[in-house]
Amino acid sequence: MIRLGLRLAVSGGREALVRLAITAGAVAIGVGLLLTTLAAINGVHAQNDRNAWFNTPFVHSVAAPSGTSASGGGTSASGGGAGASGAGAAGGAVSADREAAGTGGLDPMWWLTRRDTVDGQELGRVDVALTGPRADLAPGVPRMPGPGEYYLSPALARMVDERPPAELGDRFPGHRIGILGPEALPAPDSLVALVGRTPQELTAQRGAALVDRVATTSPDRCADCVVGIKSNGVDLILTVVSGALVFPVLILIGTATRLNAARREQRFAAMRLVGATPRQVSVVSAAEAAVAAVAGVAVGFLPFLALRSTVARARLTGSRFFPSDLSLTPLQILGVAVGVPLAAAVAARIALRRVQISPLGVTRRVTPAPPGRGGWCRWWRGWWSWPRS
Amino acid sequence: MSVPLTLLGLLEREPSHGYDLKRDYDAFFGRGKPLPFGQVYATLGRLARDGKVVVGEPEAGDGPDRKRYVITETGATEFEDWLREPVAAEPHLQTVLFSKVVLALMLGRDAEHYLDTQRAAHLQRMRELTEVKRSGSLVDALLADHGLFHLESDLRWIDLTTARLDALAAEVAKR
Amino acid sequence: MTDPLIHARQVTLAFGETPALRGADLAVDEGEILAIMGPSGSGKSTLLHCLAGILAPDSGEIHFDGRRIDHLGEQERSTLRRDSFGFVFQFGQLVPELTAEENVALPLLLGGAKRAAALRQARSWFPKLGLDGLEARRSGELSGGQAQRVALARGLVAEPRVLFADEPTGALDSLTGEQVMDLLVGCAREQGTTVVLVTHEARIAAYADREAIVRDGRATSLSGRLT
Repeated sequence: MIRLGLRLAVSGGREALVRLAITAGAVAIGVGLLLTTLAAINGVHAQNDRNAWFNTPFVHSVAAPSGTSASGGGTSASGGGAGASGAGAAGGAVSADREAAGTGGLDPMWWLTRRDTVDGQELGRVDVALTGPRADLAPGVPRMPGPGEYYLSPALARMVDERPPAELGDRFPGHRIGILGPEALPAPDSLVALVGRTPQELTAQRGAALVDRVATTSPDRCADCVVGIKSNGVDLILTVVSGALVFPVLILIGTATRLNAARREQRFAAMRLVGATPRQVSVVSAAEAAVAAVAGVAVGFLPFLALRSTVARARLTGSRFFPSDLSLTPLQILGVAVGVPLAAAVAARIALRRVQISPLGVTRRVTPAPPGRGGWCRWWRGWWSWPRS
Repeated sequence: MSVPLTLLGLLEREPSHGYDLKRDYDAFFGRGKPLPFGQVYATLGRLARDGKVVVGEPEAGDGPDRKRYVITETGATEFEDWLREPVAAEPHLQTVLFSKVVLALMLGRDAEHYLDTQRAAHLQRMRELTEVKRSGSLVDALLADHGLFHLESDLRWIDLTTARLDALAAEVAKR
Repeated sequence: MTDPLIHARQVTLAFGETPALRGADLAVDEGEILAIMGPSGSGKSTLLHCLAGILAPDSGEIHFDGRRIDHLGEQERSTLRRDSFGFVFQFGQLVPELTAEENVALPLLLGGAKRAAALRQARSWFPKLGLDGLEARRSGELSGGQAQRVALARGLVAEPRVLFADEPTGALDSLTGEQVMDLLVGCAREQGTTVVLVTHEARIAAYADREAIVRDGRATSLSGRLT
């Protein structure tokens, strides 16, 4: 029966192939949008994760020198600061007991995250001062900068090179020892500087904190974080947006199915007449619908790939995405690849409920709608058929 | 079926002996009612008297009774005229069927039963003709078809009359 | 006298408020060709649909081969149609996506036959019905008469006990219609298939052994057997 269904799906001549193509195309667009949305959601999270290290002074502060504004002055070294804000016992003797507080024998460092601007563009600046050789490593650099050394992000380095030192370059004391790797940047064009200072210089700075290690927890799951966003808001927006985009696609699929319907009904009625059981017709129609859906899913990866660079530049969160962040998990791919054909097959079954009753679709084309059918059903059928009228 | 004109038509084909004419007539037009020899020769005699056929020269080896008949110009013209002329399209309004129905209604008899019986008889005859058609030659089929179409038109009239019987009864009763 | 193959007793069926059959009785003997005649709207097609297990009557009984079939479930009626009945309708009964030979093989395929065997059996019908060379055509590429002959082959391929024909020549001109009827009657007689033929044309009904007339949802039999 499945073979018969496949045979019917691909052998209907040009007209049927066009319908197959429309349905597959509609499924492809839907799949493409779905995949793109999922990738964008993944991208938002990945970008947010890249902000994690900026939050180091807010979550990993081991000592709060008087006058600093570090809010979460906890000592929960092992807790990673995840949602454990304020629970730490603010020990007064922490600085004296640094070794004990340090993680894995790392030397603590002074850390200051600041926001600066260049021509109205945001510039993220991190000043660090090491207290020993075994300091934790920030992302995107081979070693932490010593006093008088600094790293710049590629975009910032370009700006510094293009402008007079007085305008921008002088803000960073010492000399540049390298370029920050992409792991340290929320976006490819982020302006970020990692500047090495002496502990003496930093302790005097407002907001500087002594930290034992670099933060890696996503700002999503971190109550104390200051830099980054709570991304579930963006998730919600993206879901709604994709819903709005997928809706017309559903109409398109529905219209293609309606175009098909008269002939389909005739065909299935003809098969029922010569003794196909309702079950056999179901199998045939499901196989047929799945062909279009499988083709659609396969083709659906193309719009996804095509949309990827556009979405990366779209600044959904205010800044661009790294294209590599717009990726899909195997589970998501599997879910879409299985879910969409399944949904199409289910839709085909629902659409055929009426025909399965009668093998006389052949001779009795116009059947008056039985009275007492629910109003919702009538609305639904009317809604499906409006694009034709 | 007009026997003289049919014989003229057969002679228009080729000059023939009386025996051949009878044989061909029976084969194509007889339909189970063979033409008696007497009628063949009587008809040929009248045609000869009217100058439509002449008796040709007897051929060598033929017996004295085997005269060959040849169609004349007059005979050929009459035959051609007849062939071209359409048969009068008569509607046969006063058929027996019609009379029976009207009389039955007039006398308050069961006209519907009569029509049903007549219908069954018609269909029975149609079945026989269909069987002739299915088993016989194309010439048989052609004639059977002619009968079938006529019977069918009668049947349609019977069906229509059956459907209108009540109205018809009312109309007949009024007069 | 043996029991009839199909026996309908007091069958009624209404479509909504409209009664289509009001107590129809009909008996069809094994091997006979029965014509059901009647004006349009008289319920003759509905009667055929009931006899063939396509429609379930509201009341009354229908027996086929000694078995009551009027209250069977959808599944059982499908199987009954597939195994015991063949169908030739006026038009639109061929699956347009399939070739002529696949259409003919369809009842066999639905019955679970192997594809190759089903197609072989289907092809054997084409010369019998003067359809040589049309095996790979789709229904859109067949003339009306050819399509009806393909439908006839499909109706008979599974060697059904009964062939139901509803206005099988309704969409054809007289000559083509008669060719189809010749083949239908010839094949049915050869196979010993019982035929129930619905028609409003007397010339088509004349191919049958006997006719029944449906008027106002009731059937009357007017003539006896031919032989």
